[in-house]
Amino acid sequence: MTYTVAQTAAKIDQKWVAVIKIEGVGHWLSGGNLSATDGDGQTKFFSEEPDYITPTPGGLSIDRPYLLEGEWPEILSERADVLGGLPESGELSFSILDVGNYLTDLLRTESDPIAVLDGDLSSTALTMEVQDGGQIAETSVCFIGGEALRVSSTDGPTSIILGTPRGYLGTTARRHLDGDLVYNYIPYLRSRRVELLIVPKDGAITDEVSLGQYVIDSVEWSQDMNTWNFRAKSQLKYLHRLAPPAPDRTLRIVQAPPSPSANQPVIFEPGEDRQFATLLRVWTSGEADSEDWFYLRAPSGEVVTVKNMTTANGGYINRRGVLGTTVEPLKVGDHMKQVFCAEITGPSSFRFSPGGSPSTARTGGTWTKTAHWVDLMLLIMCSSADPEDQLELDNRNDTFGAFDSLPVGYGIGLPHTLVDWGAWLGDAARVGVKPRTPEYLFPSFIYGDEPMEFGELITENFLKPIGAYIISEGGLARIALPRIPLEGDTVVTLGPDEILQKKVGGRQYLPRLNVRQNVTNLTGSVRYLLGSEELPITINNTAFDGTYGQRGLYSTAEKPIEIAVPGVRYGVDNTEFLEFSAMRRLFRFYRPTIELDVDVDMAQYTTAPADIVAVTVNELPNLSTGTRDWASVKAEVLEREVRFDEDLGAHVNLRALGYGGGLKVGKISPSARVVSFTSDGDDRTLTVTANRYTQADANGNLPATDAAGFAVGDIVQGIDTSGALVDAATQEVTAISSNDITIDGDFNGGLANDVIIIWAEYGDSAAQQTGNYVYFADREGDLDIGASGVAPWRYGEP
Amino acid sequence: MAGTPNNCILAPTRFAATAYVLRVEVDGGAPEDLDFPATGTLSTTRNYYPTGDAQADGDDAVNGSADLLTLLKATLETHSLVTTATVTISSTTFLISVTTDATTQQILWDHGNTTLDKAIFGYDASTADSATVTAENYPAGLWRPQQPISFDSRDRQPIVGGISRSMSGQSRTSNFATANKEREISFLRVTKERTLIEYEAAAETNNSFEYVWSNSIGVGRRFRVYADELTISSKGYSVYSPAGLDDPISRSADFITRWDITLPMVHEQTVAAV
Repeated sequence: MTYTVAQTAAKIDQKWVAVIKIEGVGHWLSGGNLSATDGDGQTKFFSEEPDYITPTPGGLSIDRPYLLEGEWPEILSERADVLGGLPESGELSFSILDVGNYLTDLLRTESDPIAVLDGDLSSTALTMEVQDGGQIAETSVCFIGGEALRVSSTDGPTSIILGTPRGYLGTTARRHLDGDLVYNYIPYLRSRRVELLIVPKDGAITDEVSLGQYVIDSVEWSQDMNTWNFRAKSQLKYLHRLAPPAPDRTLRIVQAPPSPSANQPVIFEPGEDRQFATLLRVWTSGEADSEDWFYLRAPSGEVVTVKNMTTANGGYINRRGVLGTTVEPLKVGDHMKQVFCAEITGPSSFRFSPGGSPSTARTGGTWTKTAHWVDLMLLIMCSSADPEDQLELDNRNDTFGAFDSLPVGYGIGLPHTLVDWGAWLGDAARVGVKPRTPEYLFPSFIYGDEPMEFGELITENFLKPIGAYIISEGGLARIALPRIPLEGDTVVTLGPDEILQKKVGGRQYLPRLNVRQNVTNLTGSVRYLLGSEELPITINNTAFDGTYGQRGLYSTAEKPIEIAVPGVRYGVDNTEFLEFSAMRRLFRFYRPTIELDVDVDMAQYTTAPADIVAVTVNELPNLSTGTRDWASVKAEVLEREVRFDEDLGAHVNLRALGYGGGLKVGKISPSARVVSFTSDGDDRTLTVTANRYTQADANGNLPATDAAGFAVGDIVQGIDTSGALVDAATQEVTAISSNDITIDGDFNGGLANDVIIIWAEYGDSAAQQTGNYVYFADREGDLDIGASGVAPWRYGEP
Repeated sequence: MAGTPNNCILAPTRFAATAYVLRVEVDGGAPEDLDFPATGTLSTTRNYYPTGDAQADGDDAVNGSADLLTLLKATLETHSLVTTATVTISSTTFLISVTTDATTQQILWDHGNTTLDKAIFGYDASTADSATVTAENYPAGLWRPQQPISFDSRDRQPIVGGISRSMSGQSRTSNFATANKEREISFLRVTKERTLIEYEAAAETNNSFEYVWSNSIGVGRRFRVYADELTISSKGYSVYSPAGLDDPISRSADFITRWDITLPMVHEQTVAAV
């Protein structure tokens, strides 16, 4: 009997094994052993041998229980920035005992090459030609650049037969060029990926669970020289690449357009390749735009479009001052740099091919122009950074689509396997960020003329304005859009059974819990500076008087947050989503939040940043009721670390942001306008307008029709267009089908076309309505909801 | 301490599989492979105890407890020549014995078809063909110091909370949760045979405290403490889990050839004698 990680976490007698794997460190394995293990030949450095390797005493050559005794791998988690952006990188430190000089023998990063590649080697080829392969042994591993290659056999002195998989020992298969050097040992260690896994001591090899991927930053040796001590950073390092890495698409004007008006001729310097200018056109054939071939940016900052380029490098400046940039004279000698714009009403440089069967060529298939913030980030992430990465149009997830269409050199080359696609695009309820933000468009986004760190680029353009952040826990780039926990959310419980204790005296303990008010993010207003013109809009929390605004000192004393949003123009693009983001941000930070730092048992290992947890601690002051009773108070997880120590064994440390006991956030209740109705006895089947109060393309758990907002069992009333009740009577919803809602009466004859169906008063509604949906409080007496005595809701979100 | 009953500790057996086979020969006839358990399956996360207290094989508040002797009896009664089997643990020798309504029987523990571990029931090898087949050793998990507890804190309520006092003497006390009670028991001057694996006596193989500690209690499993070892077949125990993993064994300061054992525990459940 073996136990999975989840089963072990729930056991009282749990015992864990830590496993470290380093990219490029491992051994040649036979095909049978490859499939019996995890298939890539990497050495597994164990804290002790798990039971699953006992059938082969001592295990395979890759099974090495060399992690230093008493020093479990130490993890420093990423810290998410709740205001939006990239978090601080996480770290992993671990020590490996150099038993029998195992590492010293294997990690000869300064060794001499053993052969020279004779001809290019593609990323999939299994025959490698070298000038002299005498030093390449059969059934060995050799290295070219970052890739490890598994040598099966040799066919003469110059032809080497490679085994599968290419990209051995966890490396990435790459194309190699004629003349590249071949090594017998790993040529470099820095920036190699490191994976930390855990497995129950009595688990199976398939029960290994990854706790995170990192990249090696530095190595040092212990004073007694017996151990190699590694320090690695989280894989967010990948996201700190330059974007674009090398913007080299520049044209120099040799004959300026005669006037600043549209459609003026221009001639560029020919350069070495007279066809270069025509190659700047990314979208050709069926996907081409006949009027605007591509965008150029002048030294002044003005963006223009160009069309009808010829091999003589003559063409036309078709549009001037694109996306609100200021028109300035174009002069001879000006270097015009190609840029990529999200102008969906124009040619739009940013296009993705939807999932299912994404197109593999820019000249055909389905390509969708996009200005959605999630798409824009994915397009830059997944497009090729360099010809050698070979990711151009070959770095897609077939289910979620192709986002690899920017020209080579304009992406950061993040392999699609390192993207948590579900978090970005998934349609699961309230999970995928794109479905939750359908209207978050940045059509004035301009990209590509200046290299900028990718993290900084997306932080300034998207993450900070929206308040989203990226994390890479588990080794995948994942986006999180913080949300206010709803009253009815189903969440993980953290209470006396989960929170660990520490001994402070004889039979006296305290919870391993630290709680404090966090005032670092307090703000009273958000000021957006829109477009290249930086026109401001300001959203102040006093604008929300009566809901959550006006909280004494906090509304006026806190500094405003000022955020530039170059990708959205005032008066041209939709800015409602920014106001919504600001409102949500203000609700979260117009008063101090509560920060919790808590150690919990290993059963919570799946809890991840951005998850919502419910905290129950009876001694925590409830700032709403004036009592000490945090009972299922919702909090958002910002950070999670799986820790190992001698006192607590394996456990989980969580840092979470809570809003105190008074938070009560619900959904907005539905409405529907009657178009017509039919009778069947007492029942009335109402045909209602499909989308008067909803959007047909709504996603992420939002109803896509007005009728779908209702549920069988809801208690409803009817109002006329002036807002007056047609009758005091309530009816119950008995069936819903497409745009038809069936109710069990006609409001005492008050039902008519154009009547609007709304939910009944709180006291008349069903529990399914009152538990999760916002009801208004009255202004009289104790400000509760009607005569219910129930505290009012603080906030409602769609 | 005259008159004070001897205590004992019983650590559970955990099974790695959900079903086993036991080969049994009765009255010299053809051996039969019997299913263990006779009906249903074992749970790999449940605690099984060789007590004869007839507890059913089902989950309870402390992660399940089931009587192995009852399960073995049911298995033996599936033999075609057996109607009634009796499986008992002696209150004097603490060895398990098996009889049936047949004349003789032989449990073929060492036969290749048998997958059930004989050590769980204290057997060394396949039994002789006999009217009563008795194990050579104590059943697995049983630790008999053959003396009463020397020091006992009894079950005591810990506090999860703190107290703070102002300069003027005003105070406030917090209380976060009601934790399970704690208890610390000590057995002083225990013989080396009952303390260390190295000196285990015949019939007590795998029944020293060190063995029970390192294989069961010390890895976090719950265990039973019997106030009187004679009540092992009639309940009368409390269930505890370990409160710490510091080595509980130390050499006696009074008698250098004896050992002191101090075990901090967290109370889980008390089951009264019936």
